[in-house]
Amino acid sequence: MKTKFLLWSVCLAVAASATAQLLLPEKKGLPRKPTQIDSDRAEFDLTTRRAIYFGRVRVDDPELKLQCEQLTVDLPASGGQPTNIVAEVNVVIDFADSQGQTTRATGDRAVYHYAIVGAVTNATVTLTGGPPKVEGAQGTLTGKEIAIDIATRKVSATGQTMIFKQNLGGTMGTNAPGVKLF
Amino acid sequence: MKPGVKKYFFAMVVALAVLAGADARAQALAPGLNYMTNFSSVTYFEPPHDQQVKMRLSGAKASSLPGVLFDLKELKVEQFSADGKLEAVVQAPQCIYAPQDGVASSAGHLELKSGDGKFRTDGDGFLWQQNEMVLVISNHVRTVFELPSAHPSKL
Repeated sequence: MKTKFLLWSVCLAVAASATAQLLLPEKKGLPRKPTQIDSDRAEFDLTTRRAIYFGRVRVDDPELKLQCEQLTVDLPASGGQPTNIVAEVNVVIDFADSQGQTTRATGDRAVYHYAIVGAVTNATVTLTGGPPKVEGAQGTLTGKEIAIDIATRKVSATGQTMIFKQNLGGTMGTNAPGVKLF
Repeated sequence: MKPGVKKYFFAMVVALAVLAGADARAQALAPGLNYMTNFSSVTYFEPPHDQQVKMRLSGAKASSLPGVLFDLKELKVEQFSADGKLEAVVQAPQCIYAPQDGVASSAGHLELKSGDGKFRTDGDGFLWQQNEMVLVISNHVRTVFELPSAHPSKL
């Protein structure tokens, strides 16, 4: 039973300046549903257009679910897409695709930044503290800092440790064919 | 009227109308306790936009309470941008308003939504600090964003 499916093996720990990547589950072109935030308490500064949520914060978005203890959201004066969101303390983010495959990102702090530069949309989530960790079907990535590119669904890290998750079909081994992790 | 005076227009109107009985809608409820109905007031931007309404406050009923406090029913606060666009609407069935401090509070429900309705939040128990333009909701906060579906990337 132990060898039926999963084998976790630590494959490498590389220099802090190196960068590794894995892919989040692909997004599908589903109709956009509203994003909902629930919390125990909140403060809204109408001058700075900043909302801060405290206590058991839960974000339910079509593309992810997030839990943390404090969430700061900056809303642009023109309305629409928040440009900067900071989640703090026990941050858990679950990304899911239409097949139900989930990738979980955890850390002490997650910073979401959204910007349109020219015709290019940049949207990233940067995890720090904990240390940060991203765990999916392909494996687990930890590091000093983990960046998730929402548009390309790529995850990269600095100072990382990569843990591969392999389906060995009932066999165990350290030289099994590599998973599509990079 | 100078903007600095206009800024506290509502507080003065309520205080004068309720305490002095000057407003035609103000009626004697009991000795020392007055109220008025269907009230509204506006504040304006500082120059050079001093002709533009910054905030409109209205309600179904305002009753005076000891200590220069007012019990407001069916409160509605509308905030506008300098170009006249509706930015936010705050509604509450009831609150206590302290005009001297610019503070409104209640243990009851409150709803806040953006002018286009794409940002909505509500909860129970709140504190509104008018001078700082800060709203605190104490319990059961729920916010809903409606984002455009065309965007490829959202959180």
